[in-house]
Amino acid sequence: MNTENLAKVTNSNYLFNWARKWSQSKLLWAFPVGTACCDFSVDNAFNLNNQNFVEPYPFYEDALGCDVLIVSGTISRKLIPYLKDLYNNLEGNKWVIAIGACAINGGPYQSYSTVHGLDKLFKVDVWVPGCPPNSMAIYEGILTLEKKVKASLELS
Amino acid sequence: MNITDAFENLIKTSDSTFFLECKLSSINEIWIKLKDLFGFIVLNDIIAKEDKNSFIVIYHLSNYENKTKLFLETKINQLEDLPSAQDIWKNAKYFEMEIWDCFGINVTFENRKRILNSNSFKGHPFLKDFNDNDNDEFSDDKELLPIIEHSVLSSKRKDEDHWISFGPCSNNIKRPLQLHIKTNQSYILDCLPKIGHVHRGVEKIAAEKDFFQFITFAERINYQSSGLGSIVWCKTVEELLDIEISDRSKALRMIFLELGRMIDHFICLSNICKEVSFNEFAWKSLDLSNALNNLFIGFNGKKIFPAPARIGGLSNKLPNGWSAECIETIKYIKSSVLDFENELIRSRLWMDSLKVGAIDSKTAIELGVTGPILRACGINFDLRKDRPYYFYEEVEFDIPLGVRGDVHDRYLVRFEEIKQSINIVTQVIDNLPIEKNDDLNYDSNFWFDLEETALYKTVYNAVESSNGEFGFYISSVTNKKADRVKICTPSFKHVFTLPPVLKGNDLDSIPLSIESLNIIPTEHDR
Repeated sequence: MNTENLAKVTNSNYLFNWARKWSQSKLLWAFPVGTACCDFSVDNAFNLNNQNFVEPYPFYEDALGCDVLIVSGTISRKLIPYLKDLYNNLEGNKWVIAIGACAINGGPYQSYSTVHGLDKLFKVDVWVPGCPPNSMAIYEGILTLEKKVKASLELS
Repeated sequence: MNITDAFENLIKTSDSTFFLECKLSSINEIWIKLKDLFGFIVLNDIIAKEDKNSFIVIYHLSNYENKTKLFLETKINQLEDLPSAQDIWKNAKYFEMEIWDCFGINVTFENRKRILNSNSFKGHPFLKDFNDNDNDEFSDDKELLPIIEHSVLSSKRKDEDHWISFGPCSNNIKRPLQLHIKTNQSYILDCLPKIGHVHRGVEKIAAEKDFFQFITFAERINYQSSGLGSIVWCKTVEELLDIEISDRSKALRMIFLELGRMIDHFICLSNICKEVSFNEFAWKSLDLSNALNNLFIGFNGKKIFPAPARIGGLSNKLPNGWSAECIETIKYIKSSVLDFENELIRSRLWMDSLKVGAIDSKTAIELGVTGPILRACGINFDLRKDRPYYFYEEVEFDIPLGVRGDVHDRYLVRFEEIKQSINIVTQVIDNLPIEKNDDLNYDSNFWFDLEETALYKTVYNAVESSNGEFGFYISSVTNKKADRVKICTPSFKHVFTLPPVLKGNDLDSIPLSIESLNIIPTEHDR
């Protein structure tokens, strides 16, 4: 069968979707958005040549083309439009991890300038509690997300 | 002329601190007099607070030659205009923007801009009758770039001056900080830093909680130096309530402050290494900071926010064998630091790639810069020597100074400070005072047994943190609660050194310059 015949039996959209799903099932690209203290914890968990970590995610330079958004730290009202833009820039299937008490419900900072919960902005898949969570908790969160990603890819 | 003769109503509150009250009409003359005749060339902070139907504005000034401080207080009505001090102190502009944002004090028209909150924010949050219901929680309000003047033809050419924007959610700056940059052929012509993306209203929370509850929040203001916030907060509250802590607690707090300083410097160093792709050194210094963090885990089981201080002492007793562990770690760090230096000092690439981001001493003083950045420009100012607290008078250490004030000098100063900190810790741990039974700390319910009484007092207390002068201003109403807390942080001033630091450099140098300034977002946004 030559390539001309292949083009007749499938459409490009299907092919690209299939390729994307296949790549997502193999490796996810993450884009970290860190604002405050929890960012420091995430950095510690990912960057260190830590024995606990088997395969850290590669961090992507640009949000375009990423699959996972890792949001950690306080979300202030001033940050909302930028965060929404970032989320809308992700294409196709996308997942969000919220790290730390501040991203979950505002944490101790219940004041006039903070957003009390990331799920008020968009759908969040995995929550990692703690103030700040330790490296193992973040790793556990990522494992949970991986299970979720595999399940959702099989379904669709 | 002596300063005490020049002003009649000058009050000397301590050896090096003055307090002066003046009328609004004569404030301009007094500013000029204080700066030109008495050498108060640095404006550290402008503090505002609400007082019934009027405001009190306090100018916090420093004299680096005589090592003195002066608090200039003035009262202003809601309808009156506050004259601008930005012709006298350059950084007054940003503080004035802040007091307009938070209190709505009528500063000069050009400074009536939001700095911490977004532009569509309604009302002034620190006022007592502030109502949050007017505000839309999810506003789509972005900081717009300055207007770009392009003709149709020239818009494609990149050698024309144009504005670009970085941040706040970008991976190349790694901080929620927005930079508007005017550039021409990748050279930076101008830079406007925009802050406030992590504004959490900590100062308002401080007025709602009691002193004991605020320790956790104080610890989270600077997340890189473990233990710094809680120690400074407890020190300030102890001065407010006239509590004398035991010698042992003082010595241990000194050790924790120095350990925190080392952790911060190592993290800053690792960030600098990462930016110039010295990855091996980046990991090595992170490893060393982790080894120091383990000492905090050994003390009370917490790594990033240990909060070792409590009002009247420390969170718990020193565990058995902790000091031996500390000495071991310090020994390990001392040997690693020397290896580290030997390898870096030979590298030509390292020296060449760090020759960017210079700031001269005059600009640094105009902008109120403190800490290693000021010392890298060659100005000898360190609170540990100039206004010593705890036992810093009795230990021996040197203050490293730089010459050019660029990234390389900042790295050298930070590196040398790590060695001096090792020196201090070994000296203190060798002479650690013995534990006595009458120590007012640990498990005693001292704070909860304290009865609440009225107490109208104001206190300012600061220490030399790893970034510079870090202090709290508390004006209390009772002995358990504050009316107004102002956090005087070094990073708020350091953010605004970015325009002079970046000007004339290449766009590639932006991340390196930011990392070397060690700007901490939660510090400048509060």
